Amino acid sequence: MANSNSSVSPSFLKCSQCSLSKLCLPVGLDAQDMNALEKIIEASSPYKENETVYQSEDHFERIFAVKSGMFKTVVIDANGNEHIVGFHLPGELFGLDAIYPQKYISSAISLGTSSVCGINYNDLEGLATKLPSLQRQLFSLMSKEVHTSQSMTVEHAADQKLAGFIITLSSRYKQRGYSETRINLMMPRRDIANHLNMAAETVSRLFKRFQKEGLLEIKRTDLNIINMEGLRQLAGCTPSE
Amino acid sequence: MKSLVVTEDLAPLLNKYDVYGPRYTSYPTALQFDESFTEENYCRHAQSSNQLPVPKPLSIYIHIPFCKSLCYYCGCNKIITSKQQMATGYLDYLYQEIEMHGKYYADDRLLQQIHFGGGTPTFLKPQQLREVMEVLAQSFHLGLPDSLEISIEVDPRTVTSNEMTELVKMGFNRISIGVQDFDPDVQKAINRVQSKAQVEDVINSARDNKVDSISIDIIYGLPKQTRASFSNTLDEIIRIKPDRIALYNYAHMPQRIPAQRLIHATDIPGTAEKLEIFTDSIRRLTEAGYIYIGMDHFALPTDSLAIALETGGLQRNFQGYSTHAECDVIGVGVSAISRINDSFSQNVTEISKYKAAILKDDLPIKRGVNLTTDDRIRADLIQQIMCDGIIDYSDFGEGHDIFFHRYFSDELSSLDELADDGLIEINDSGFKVTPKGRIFLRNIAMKFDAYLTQTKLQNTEQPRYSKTL
Repeated sequence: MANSNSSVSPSFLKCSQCSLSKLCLPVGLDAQDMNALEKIIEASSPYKENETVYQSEDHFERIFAVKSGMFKTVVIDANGNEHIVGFHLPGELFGLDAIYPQKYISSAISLGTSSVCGINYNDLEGLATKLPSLQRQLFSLMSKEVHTSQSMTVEHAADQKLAGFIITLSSRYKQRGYSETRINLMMPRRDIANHLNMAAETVSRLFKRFQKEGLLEIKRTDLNIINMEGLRQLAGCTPSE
Repeated sequence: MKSLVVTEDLAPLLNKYDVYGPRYTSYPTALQFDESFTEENYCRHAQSSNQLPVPKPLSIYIHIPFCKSLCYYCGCNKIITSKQQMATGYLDYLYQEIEMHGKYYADDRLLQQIHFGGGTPTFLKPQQLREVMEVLAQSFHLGLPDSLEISIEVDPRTVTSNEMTELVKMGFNRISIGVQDFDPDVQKAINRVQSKAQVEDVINSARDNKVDSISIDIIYGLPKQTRASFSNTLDEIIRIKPDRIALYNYAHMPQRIPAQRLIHATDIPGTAEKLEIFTDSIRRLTEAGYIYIGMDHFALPTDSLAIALETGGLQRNFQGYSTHAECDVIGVGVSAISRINDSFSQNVTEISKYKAAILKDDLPIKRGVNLTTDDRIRADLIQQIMCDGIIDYSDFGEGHDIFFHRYFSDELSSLDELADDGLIEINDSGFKVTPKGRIFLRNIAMKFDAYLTQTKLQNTEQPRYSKTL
């Protein structure tokens, strides 16, 4: 466990001053409730690339909210193969899958320089019983997680999976107030490939094809969506989705 | 973009902008390379480059340091020898280095460009060049024949027309021929005597075998050169009509390049005459239909370089200008420079150290640099100045997550002089290099070089770079 116990200056911890408060746990909380929430949140100092937040089988204590950068959660299947279950953007929670078994199922690893807020789950549970809007937001975020993992279980053609992956990232970034057309793909291509269950070569081949078809442009890790509608169609989204 | 048409006396501008400056085949330049850069750094950049969503194709530069005789003007890393077995001994190590690099790169990264430089790459016999190509094919995945560029610098004194035929059949599709000057007195003064017939034999056999592109190197400012003598050389070049011409400036720096001490300083044309030779050359070549690409390069309008200048696909790399999409460049052999991901690295220059490193199974890296975000921004900007010559502030800023005016506020305020001299045109949304300004690309790019403080660059200082013109 790297860094997780180091403390950071108090101002860093204030949800009320965090630009992500409209997406993260504090949605709908008033100043006083927010204050109560801040008391149970512990920010870590930034993780460098490829550092572990927790490992699978570690004792469950806290869930995490991404403050900056990106994290991936990884599980190891019965054959010992790693599988990336998700990429987590600022304002998103991870570690929720540990609530039932009371131990972490996945391992969480930073991609690039990234930071998190850790929230003691017992404290959060206690606070949520007193603050209905916190409870509502917690359930809502959990439901979102369930939804995401369900949509991952459906098998699609490779190009459809990759297009869907980009569309999902785009809309998650948009929710966070970032550009929906310009996305920084900071994860290595082998991680995208692993997450979507295809070869790394396929990821690059498809990206090149999407470029040729005028759907998007890629320079280094900068992805620029040119034809959002075309990409949505390829991903099998309905136009209004 | 309109090509350069010389209608005015360029001498005042040429005098004014004739300062020491980098050639920007890389940014940061080799002066910023540092010995703390190791194989581990290289390895990390190679791995990151494999993990981009769309990894760049690969290009390889192969340095053959041997020459049969010494050309007095030359500042390249070289070894003068007539012993062919020197090359055989070197190649054994070169192959191991190629194999070591090959292991670092993902299988789907095609090798699109192979360039042999030197020294004298044609010191190697065609059979040896074939062997190098075979090792490359074993260590990398080669691009398809119609998109694979294989180029070599040819010394016409070391290649027969039969050998040239063999090279083209083997797949070499771009050759650049070192002519320098056709004048016998100049050739004697630089110790590089070669007849027109030797040059034309090589070119004819390359053409007969349908080589894609022929480039000729010539040099102005050489000893014994006069306006009249170089005019004759230009006549011959225009008659031969290569696809591309590289017109290099002879930089006399005997304190840095020992071979140049064999050149009598009194034989070198004076500054005024040298600039006349340069302007004559630009005028003659453009009148003969060549498009001025920038820096030292000219190309026929049908050549891919001229087309790329027109359509915006020009690139700049260690060998000068190119039309290839940006590649990661692997440099092998003594003194070779690699450009992988956000790094530059250079191999050791001494053969003994080169062999010692490879015997230990180490890459023979001597020094290098990890690019910072600022380096990357400036490298992209300098590349854009040297190539397309058009900078749109908001496009560039958006592409690099900066506010251009704020980021480059000092630099922008220093551009007025260039605009007053007609080298660039500035408007609200950006600036562009004028056709005349392409002669002074180095001077324009220097404004954006964070490692240059103007005080270090005055002519009075010991020169670290060659003159810009």
